[in-house]
Amino acid sequence: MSLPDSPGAPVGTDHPAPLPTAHPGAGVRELPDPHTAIAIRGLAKRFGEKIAVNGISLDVPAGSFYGLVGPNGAGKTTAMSMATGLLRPDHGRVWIHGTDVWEEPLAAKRRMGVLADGVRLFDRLTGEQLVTYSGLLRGLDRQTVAERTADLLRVMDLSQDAGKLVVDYSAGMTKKVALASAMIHAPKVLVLDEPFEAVDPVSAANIRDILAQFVASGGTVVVSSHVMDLVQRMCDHVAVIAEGTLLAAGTVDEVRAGKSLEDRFVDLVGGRTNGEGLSWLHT
Amino acid sequence: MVAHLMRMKLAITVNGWKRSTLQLVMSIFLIAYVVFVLAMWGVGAAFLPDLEVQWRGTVLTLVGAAAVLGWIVVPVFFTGVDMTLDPANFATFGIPSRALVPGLALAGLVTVPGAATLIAYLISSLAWRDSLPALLTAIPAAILGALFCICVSYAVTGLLAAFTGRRRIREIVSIIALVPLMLSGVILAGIVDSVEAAADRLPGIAAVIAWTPLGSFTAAPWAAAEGRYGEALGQGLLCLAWVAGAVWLWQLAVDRRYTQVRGSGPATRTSRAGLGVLGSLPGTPAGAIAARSIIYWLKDPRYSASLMVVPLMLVLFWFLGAQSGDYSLMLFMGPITGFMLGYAISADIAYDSSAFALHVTAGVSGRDDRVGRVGALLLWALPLTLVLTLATTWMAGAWDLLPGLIGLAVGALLTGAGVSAVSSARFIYPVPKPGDSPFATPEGSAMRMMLVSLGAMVVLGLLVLPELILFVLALLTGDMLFQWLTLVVGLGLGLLVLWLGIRWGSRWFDRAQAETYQSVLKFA
Repeated sequence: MSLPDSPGAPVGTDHPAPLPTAHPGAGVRELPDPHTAIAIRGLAKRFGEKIAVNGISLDVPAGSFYGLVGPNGAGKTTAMSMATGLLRPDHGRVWIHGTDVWEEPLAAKRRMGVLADGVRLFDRLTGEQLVTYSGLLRGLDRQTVAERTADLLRVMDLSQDAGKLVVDYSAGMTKKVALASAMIHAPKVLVLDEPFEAVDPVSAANIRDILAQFVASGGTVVVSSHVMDLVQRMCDHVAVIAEGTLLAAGTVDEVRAGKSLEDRFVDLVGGRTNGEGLSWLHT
Repeated sequence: MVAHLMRMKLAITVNGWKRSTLQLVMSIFLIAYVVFVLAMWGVGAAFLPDLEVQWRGTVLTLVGAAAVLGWIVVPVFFTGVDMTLDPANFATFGIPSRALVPGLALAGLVTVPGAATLIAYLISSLAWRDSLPALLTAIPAAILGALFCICVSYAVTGLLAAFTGRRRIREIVSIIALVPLMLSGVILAGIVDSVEAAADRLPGIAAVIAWTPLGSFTAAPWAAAEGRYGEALGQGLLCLAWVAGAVWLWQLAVDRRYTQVRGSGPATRTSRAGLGVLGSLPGTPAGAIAARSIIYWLKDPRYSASLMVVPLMLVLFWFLGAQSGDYSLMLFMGPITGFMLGYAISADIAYDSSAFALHVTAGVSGRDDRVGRVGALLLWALPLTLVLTLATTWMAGAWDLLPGLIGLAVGALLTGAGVSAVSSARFIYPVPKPGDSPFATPEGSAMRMMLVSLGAMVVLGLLVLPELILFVLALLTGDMLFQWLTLVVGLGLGLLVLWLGIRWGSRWFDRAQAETYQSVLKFA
């Protein structure tokens, strides 16, 4: 078993969706346009026998609100980990505004705010301590960190609980304080893995507003999600991943091609059963 | 239910072997070692009938007491307990703890230590093969004894862990738990005047222990063999009572944990405004990491539990000194503390668990990470080691040894910190997760943990050998020159190892940050 060195056509050619921003099999040598927020070329990762990500190439334009959707185990988290410096890819490269994540990690990471899914926080710190810690880790000066921490906690509606230990926070508060920690160094790009999972609707709406403002002020956001409705409403671009392969990518309208995103997603990914079986469940 | 739990326990063990060959090899070594020990015990037990009944009973009772003590002490202070079948995992099934705990106890018999204990107990009953009543008593008592060992170790660790939320209480409980241990020293020191007198008194001591949970299980057949059937019956009933008591305590611990799972943790702690230590250390990445580490030393029971040993040891050595009137044993305190504290952060990144992601995504440099963590330790460990060395030297009145002791203690601390700076970045192994009991051993990790820490201990021991040899020379010759040499070499070599450790640790950290994070994640 060998991985494609320069992956040929990772985008399903039998799918009619227009693919303006995906670069199937783009040469890995050429430097991407630095205005592209995230440029991914031929990204691949194998765990033992299983190919988790099978050659993904994708451009995330600056200032876009990019949704990444796919069924469970599609390779979303693996791909995002490789793009954010958490997992070394077997093949392929990733640039953040023209800086290679794996060649100049410190410079690339300065431009990126990351919310990894299912990751613990240093939860024996208070909310205020955690956000401050995150700022100081990035080498910001104390004055700036103090101002931004206060601002972020206020915007996230956490000022009241700033002195509480993060371990005592609810799921929604934990996501918000993690998001605040990811934003304190004023990154150009936010990469958020499942930012709305286990978050109540009110907190989710607040987080969405914050992200929309971030995009409006020129930032770029990439979110992964299971919730198609949310992605359709919130994002302007979307990429569909299944079994480690990019199936479609582009603006939301291009990808959904007149249908709802959910229907289009099911078309692309397949796997729907017709609801038979479990006859014993009917009373 | 019981069969289910036992089968599940076996399935989990086998799946662990399938997942990792290393784990399988470790298990084979462990089992081989246990079989060897059991065989030795079998040979010993086979020769026991040659002894007269009184001595046979004494030996078996004392060995049995040591086994029970081992089951209580070792998990609390060294290995933790196997939490593969954590009662908390069963919380959603709504199984009452009354049904769950006996099942878990029997499932404990299919673990290596559980099975080994049962077999060892059964082998010991061979010693009574010349007396039918004793043999008939010994076999059920053996089974009860093995069950008691399992239950009491889970009960003690469970109850300790149940108070994790209330740190102060937990610390006090653990200190109280050590009182019997200290008392055992006092009892021995008080009763035993000479070896001969001790030998004469052992049967008497064993006869007393026979009526405690430590000895009933092995003493009941002894009473039966001597024809004291009333006493045998009494001790047999006590065996039942001890097992019931241990099961009850375990249930209590499980019930507490159930409610904690349902209520998702202890009640909200008092909120505190301000940044604490994070505001007072330098506002640099290394400073922030140091401040965070210090906060964790205070707030995370996994760290503070390892600190508890220091005052306990101090009290123990003082007690022994007070017994004999000779406090020179206390002189060990400084060097031992330095050695232990330096080694204490050898798994620092593993203790972060997946929270370490923040250091990776923030692009923390290896130097900042290493310097921050080691700095946090030295900031309080250095003064503590010095103060302890000074205080113990004062108590022992051995001022002429002070330079050498300081050289040895600080040398061990600095060297340990240097070794930890490399090992915490290089070797990631499963440790109790944040919020878990500090007494839980993660599944299938005991051997790997022991290997890595043993390796680090050996390296550490070799690295402090120069100052140790110089100190021994100083003691043998009484020459002050060697005292001062110990001081100079201890400090110099310690600083050198620390500097090298931080350099190598940093380089590894920078090169393999993503890989380090992935291996932490694997165990998270």
